[in-house]
Amino acid sequence: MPKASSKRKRILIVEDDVALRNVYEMRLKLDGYDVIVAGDGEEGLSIAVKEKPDLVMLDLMMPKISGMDVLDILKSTPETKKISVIILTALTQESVKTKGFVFGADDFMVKSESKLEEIVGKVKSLLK
Amino acid sequence: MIITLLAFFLCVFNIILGVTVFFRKKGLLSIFFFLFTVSVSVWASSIYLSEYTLSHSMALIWMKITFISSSLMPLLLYYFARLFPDYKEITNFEKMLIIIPIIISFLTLNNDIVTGIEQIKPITPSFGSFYNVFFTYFLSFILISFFILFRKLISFSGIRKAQTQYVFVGLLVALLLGMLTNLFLPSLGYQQYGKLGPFSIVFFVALTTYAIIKHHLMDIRLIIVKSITYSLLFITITLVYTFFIFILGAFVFQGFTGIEAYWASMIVALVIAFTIQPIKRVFTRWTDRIFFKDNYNFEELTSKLNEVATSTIVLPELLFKFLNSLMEKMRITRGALILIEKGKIYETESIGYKQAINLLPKEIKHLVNDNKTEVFDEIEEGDFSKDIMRSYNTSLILHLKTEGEIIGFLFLGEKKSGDIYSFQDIRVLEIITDQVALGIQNAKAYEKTQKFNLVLRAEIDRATKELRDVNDRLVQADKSKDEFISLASHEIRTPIAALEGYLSMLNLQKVDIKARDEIAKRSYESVERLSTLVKDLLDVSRIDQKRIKLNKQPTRLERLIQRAMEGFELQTRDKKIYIKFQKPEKMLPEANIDPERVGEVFNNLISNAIKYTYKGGITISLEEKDNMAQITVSDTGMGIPKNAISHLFQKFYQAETASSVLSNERGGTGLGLYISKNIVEMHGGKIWVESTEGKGTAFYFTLPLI
Repeated sequence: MPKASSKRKRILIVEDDVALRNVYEMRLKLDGYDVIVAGDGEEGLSIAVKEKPDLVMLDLMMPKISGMDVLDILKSTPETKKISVIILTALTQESVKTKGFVFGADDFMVKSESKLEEIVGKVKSLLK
Repeated sequence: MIITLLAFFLCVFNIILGVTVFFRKKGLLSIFFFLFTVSVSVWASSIYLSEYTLSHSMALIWMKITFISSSLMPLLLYYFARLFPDYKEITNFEKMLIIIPIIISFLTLNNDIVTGIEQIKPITPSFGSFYNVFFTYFLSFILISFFILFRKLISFSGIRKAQTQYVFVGLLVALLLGMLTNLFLPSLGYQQYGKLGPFSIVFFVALTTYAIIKHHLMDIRLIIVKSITYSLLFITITLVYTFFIFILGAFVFQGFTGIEAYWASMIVALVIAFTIQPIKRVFTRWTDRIFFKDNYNFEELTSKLNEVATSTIVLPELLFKFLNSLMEKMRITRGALILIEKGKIYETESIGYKQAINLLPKEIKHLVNDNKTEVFDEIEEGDFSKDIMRSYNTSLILHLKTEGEIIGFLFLGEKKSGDIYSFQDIRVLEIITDQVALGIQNAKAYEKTQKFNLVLRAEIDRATKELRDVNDRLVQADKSKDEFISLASHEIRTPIAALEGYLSMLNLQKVDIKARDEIAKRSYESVERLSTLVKDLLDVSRIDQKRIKLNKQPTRLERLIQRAMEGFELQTRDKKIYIKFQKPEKMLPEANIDPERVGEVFNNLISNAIKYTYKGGITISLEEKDNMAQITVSDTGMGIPKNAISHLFQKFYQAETASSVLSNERGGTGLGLYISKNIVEMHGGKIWVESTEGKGTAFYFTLPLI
């Protein structure tokens, strides 16, 4: 639901798979979000620091810098600490999930188990 | 007087020589040799004894003995010549010839040859009518014997020739001298030279002795020693007896006669009976001390070596101990044991040899075939055995045998004393080597068992390791299979998730026409990617299970490349990059390939190149190198990091891109290069890559031409 007031919420999608990235981007734009994309952890981190989006959708298995490291850096840096992070991964292990929460993730979703609308729902609730 | 004693000693010596030969070498030849020495000795003795007779009748008796003994000599010489050196039989006719000396003996006894004695000092007999018959018989048989020996001398070779040579020369000189002094000169009336005749025996004895020493005819030292011992004993006893008789006669029974003489004889006989053994022992000790300085005790030697043979079962130790004890006991300078197996050296041990005895296979073969104890001095020049022994500085080679099979050799250098190996030494060594061969065989069997044990253990270790390796590989294979499945399912799941997302968006109210078009396009891309992925996965599975069959046919590579390029025209135009084909100057022969599979390789390489190139373009070239077609697909793209190159042809590998967002293309499957590599290699070609980061990448591969 696009917000008429003030500025639009900005979402950063960090995802190495082009097809998925495109789906998320297209879907979130339909809801009126300002969407930025990054193809790997390094790119994602630099955009996140520079642009300070409201929320980051973060893949874990990525080239260069892994999603978990990006999360760790974002959550331990004062300027980016407040950015909400949703981990969106193909990894299903419970240990990964636990680690993600320990590092300060706001939510954790497994790609293959989550419908697109569920993901959008999570994003919306976190950005309220 | 001295001449007489010397002649007497010579006679005794001669007889003992004959006796010893007779006892040591059984056979007709020895019998005849013995009888010959006896008749010669009797003949010589009779000549000397006749010198001391005072009556005509006694002189006649001595003369008769001389003729009877000399009548035997030609026939015995004939037999000897016939049988020498190693014949076993004479014909019945030849046996019948014995009648001749018998007749002559009768004639002699009947005073038909020597009719009487004309004069005693010097003895001058008068000859009868049959003297000429005797003379003819004597001369003709001696000539025949020499002729026979001469024939043998010519026809024989080697050691038999040498033996014959010495015996021939010895007899020739002896009998020529004998005939001169005792046949020709007396017949011419010079009787006084008769007593020199027996000395002609010296030549016979000396030369036979030399032949014996030089050629091991028999154990000469033993014979000489025995002969000397017994000769001394004989003479001593005779002197003692004479001395006693003289003492008794002069002081005790002055001018003794009758009963007294018998008493005296009995006392002397008793003295002789009691003294003969101690005197003999004394003489034996003397002669032994002179001749057998380094003698060994046979019993002691064999028992010592037996002890060695049973003391250890460890082969090298056994060989060393045996050699050491043997050389010590027999006082030998050098010794070596060479064990052979299947015509090759199995093990050697040597003491005192300066160089190693590495027998060549042909030398081993020769020695095995010879199969007899090799004595350096006995082998004639030119024999290979002699060469072998000379090159290894060896005097004696004995064979080690078990159950008739030769398992090795015992090489011995000369004795420390410098003496030759006697007949007895060789016999002893042969017995000893037979014993030790058995011990060696046992030790060898033991060693082989141990070696086999080691081999077995090594084999087991190897098999265990192999099993472990196979297991590791299986575990690894299982692991990579799991990885493959997990990666593959991940790769499949992603486009499905995307597809799912797009389709779910269609239900949304806010999706307008433009968005729908976008969704349709994106969905199609995901489906396309999915289908490529499934096709690639199937290819990989076929490759991994080796189920890909190539449908080879003659193909023009130029045409195949051009067709592949056409498929990418749209993409390159969109990306504003070029794609060109550098044709070879001369058209290449057709390639023997599966065009469909090789087409896949082109597609993979070109699409990769396009994917990572943003300015510039792609160049494909073709050339012939070493009867192979070499294709190059080069681009001006971002290049591949060095650390990625080695992983490039692995399954699911995708190089990290400089900027993922920029590469807004459809994602690869990570299987293309793996499949390409396998297709090229199945054709017998090679594929490799050269890349500079930031400048570009070139893939090369080769294919067989017809």
